[in-house]
Amino acid sequence: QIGETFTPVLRESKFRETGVLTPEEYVAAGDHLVHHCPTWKWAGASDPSKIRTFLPIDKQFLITRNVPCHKRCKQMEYDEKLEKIINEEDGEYQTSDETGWVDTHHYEKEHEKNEEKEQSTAPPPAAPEDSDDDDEEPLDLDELGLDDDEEDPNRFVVEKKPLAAGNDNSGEVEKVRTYDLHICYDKYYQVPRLFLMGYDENRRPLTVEQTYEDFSADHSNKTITVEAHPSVDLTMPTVHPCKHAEMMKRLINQYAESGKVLGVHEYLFLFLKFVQAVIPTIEYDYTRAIKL
Amino acid sequence: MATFVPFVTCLDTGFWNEVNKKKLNDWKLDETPKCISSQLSLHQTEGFKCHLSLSYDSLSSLESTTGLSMSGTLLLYNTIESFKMVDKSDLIRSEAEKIWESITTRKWLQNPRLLSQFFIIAFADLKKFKYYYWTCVPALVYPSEIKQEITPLSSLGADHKILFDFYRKNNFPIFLYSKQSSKMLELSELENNTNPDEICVVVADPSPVAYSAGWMVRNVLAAVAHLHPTWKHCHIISLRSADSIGIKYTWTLPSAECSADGAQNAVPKAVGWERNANDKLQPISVDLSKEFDPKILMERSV
Repeated sequence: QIGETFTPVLRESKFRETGVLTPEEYVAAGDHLVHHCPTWKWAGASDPSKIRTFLPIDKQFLITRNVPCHKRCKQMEYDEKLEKIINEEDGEYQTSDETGWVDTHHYEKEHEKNEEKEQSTAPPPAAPEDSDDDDEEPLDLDELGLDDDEEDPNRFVVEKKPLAAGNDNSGEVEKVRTYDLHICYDKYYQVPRLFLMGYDENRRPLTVEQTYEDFSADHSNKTITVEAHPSVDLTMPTVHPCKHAEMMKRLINQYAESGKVLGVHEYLFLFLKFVQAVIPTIEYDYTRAIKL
Repeated sequence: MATFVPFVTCLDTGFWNEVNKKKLNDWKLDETPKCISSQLSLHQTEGFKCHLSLSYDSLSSLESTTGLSMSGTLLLYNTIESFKMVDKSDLIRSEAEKIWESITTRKWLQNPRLLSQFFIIAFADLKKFKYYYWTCVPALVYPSEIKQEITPLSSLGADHKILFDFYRKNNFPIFLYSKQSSKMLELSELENNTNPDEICVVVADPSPVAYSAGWMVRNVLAAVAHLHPTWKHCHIISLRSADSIGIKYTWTLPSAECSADGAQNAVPKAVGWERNANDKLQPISVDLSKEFDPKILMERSV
């Protein structure tokens, strides 16, 4: 945060040369994104002290809510079709072929996660340390529930269909998570920056460890950090932007090689395309994303 | 049988963070209902629930002027005991009364937002950062035996793009489409239209399900059926960002006999307490100690 405070606001447009954006360019690109992908919206700061004056008050960051995420990245690795999509990605953000981390015989991601971690003192997410507290839950939710005797025939109920045979992993029920994605402007790195907040199928916020399951293997331990959101009073997992400019420049060049010139308003489409390599299973709208 | 897609509440950490702050600094022991609002999305095409999202901005009094929003109240109790003791049937009944009043007085024709209201009962344990809540979006069970028939917009002579552009321009949550003149009309015109086959009621609908309208349409049908007691059916257009659908609803009304003994103005029964992920009528608990507990946050940052 200190770095941001002392970095002057970028004034000069140089996104083609270096991949960085001025706040004005970020707003223009954001307007373009909101217009073409209306699932994205502009949002304001959570309180006046958080307003960043180099951005319009009502356009502090971009948000899309309740984006479904049907599979964990790990499950995706089994799917050859999806693997192909990843491998099409270029550069260092490509998911590498280190297949070692996919352990097809043991479906125990928690154990593996801990081994990977330096400080393995943290218990696996399946057994949070406060599980003792849960026993002395002051409230029996079952007891509080209403009787289900009043049938409401007009309530829409999903037909429970059995999972397709090829689709299920060890008979597990599909757990649909949802994500809120935020694209902020990082003043220090002068690029858009993705923050994301996930919820489990019971709408409970995901722990950081659980969130890592939705980042492609190459990123979860390197480029994902938990940091203070610039506009909302919360800490959230974020894709660290230190390499964004470099990566964006490379993508812009690639785009230029195919004979097209990227307008700055299209910057976020390209950014979303790039982000897709990091969070391949989160199904946000990148249908407009630019084809390289 | 007609079906309506219920809401699922998505309360994010930012929402509870605001509740923490307001409870400590402003509300303190004040238990009076607090105004909240939710922005609804017409762009959802996935899943089987309408999303009722609440975030850090849901507690501010400023209601957004763009997009579809629903206003509601937060009933935050000071103790777990008072949260437990809440008379749930009494609460939903009194909310249903308000909605029914806006129908019988025809206020809804001027302000259709009166038809869609929600409330959340909650308890926030600010020592352990555990939260208990339960949302209710009351829907009147009226008229009875509602049946539905999906019809393509073209058979109603309507065009999705024209309707959606009109909605975006005017931000009316409900408006009319006249089949006769192929024109959009304000909702208040419904009083003067007596032929159910000449008019469609267009409702901005967050339902992601292609063959079922969202929960909010229920109170619209109740209002239409009350306004025009002779109608036995009505054409609704469920307006979404892509692929709006037309639905013909038919029903039976306890009309003639009931109005004689005054029962037509008796408040109908209401439903709408939210079901949890296991489809049970129960409150939901969330443990946010990992997000808010200073002790845990300290440990994590070491």
